[in-house]
Amino acid sequence: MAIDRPGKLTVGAFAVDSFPDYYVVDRGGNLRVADLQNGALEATVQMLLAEPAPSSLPTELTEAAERAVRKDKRLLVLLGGDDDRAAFNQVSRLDRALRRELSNEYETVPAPLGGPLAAALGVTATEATALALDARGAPLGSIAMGGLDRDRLWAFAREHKVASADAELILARALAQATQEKKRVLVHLGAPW
Amino acid sequence: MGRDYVTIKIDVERNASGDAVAKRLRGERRGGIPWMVILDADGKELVSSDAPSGNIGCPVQPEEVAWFAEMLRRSTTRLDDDDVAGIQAELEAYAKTLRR
Repeated sequence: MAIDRPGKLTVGAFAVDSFPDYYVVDRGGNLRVADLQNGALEATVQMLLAEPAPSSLPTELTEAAERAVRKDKRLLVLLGGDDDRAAFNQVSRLDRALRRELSNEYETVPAPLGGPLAAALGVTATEATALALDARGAPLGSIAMGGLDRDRLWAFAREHKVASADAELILARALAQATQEKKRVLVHLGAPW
Repeated sequence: MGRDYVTIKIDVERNASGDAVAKRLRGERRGGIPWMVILDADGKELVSSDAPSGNIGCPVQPEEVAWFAEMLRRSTTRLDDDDVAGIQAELEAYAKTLRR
């Protein structure tokens, strides 16, 4: 802050007691540290940069994102017209395993190219595009829907899905924790469907 | 529940080895999924969601909720009757919203 308002209102509000005096605001606009010691500035900035970026989820994705979080899935935004999405679905319809993979791993959201969701996601492509996002709305990758074939869609789906944890490892860790904490293990066997 | 149970979810389709672990834990028993089992820390089965009338699955009906509470009673070392009754009441309140 180089210039304060008359009466030094900002200096007063923040209780600035020396110059320079550091107040660190995070990417979400929250004041995180006040009256920081000068020598701690670099470490503080690095700490905040290491935090995940605040979610800026477009409202069009809210419901699908809630399902994605609950089911540990990704979001798949299909930007294009009805014909584009029909062609996309036709590719997956020919391969039952691929169709199941997409259903198991992704919450699909249709949206028009050039619409508010495309704008919110920063997509400027003029051709139909499938966009993979994590459940918080962070983009992971995209692929043109035009001319898409089964192999390329398989590769795209595998590349961006949530990494599959090994059930043996999950169980072994739970048993180890149960041993350490003298607890039982409640195993819930389920499926995506 | 967390005082006495480490709870895990295994997806038989999405988790690698999920199907193998499911078969090992469940053996030849049938009845659909979801299916639950409570193990001791050595991996020995204490009780499962197979009630006398069959697998309760996701406990929604009153008798299914009651069996889930029975699973806790048969396996717990730290929960007392009031704790189990409280869990059962919470589950019952949630299950009511799912009943048709």
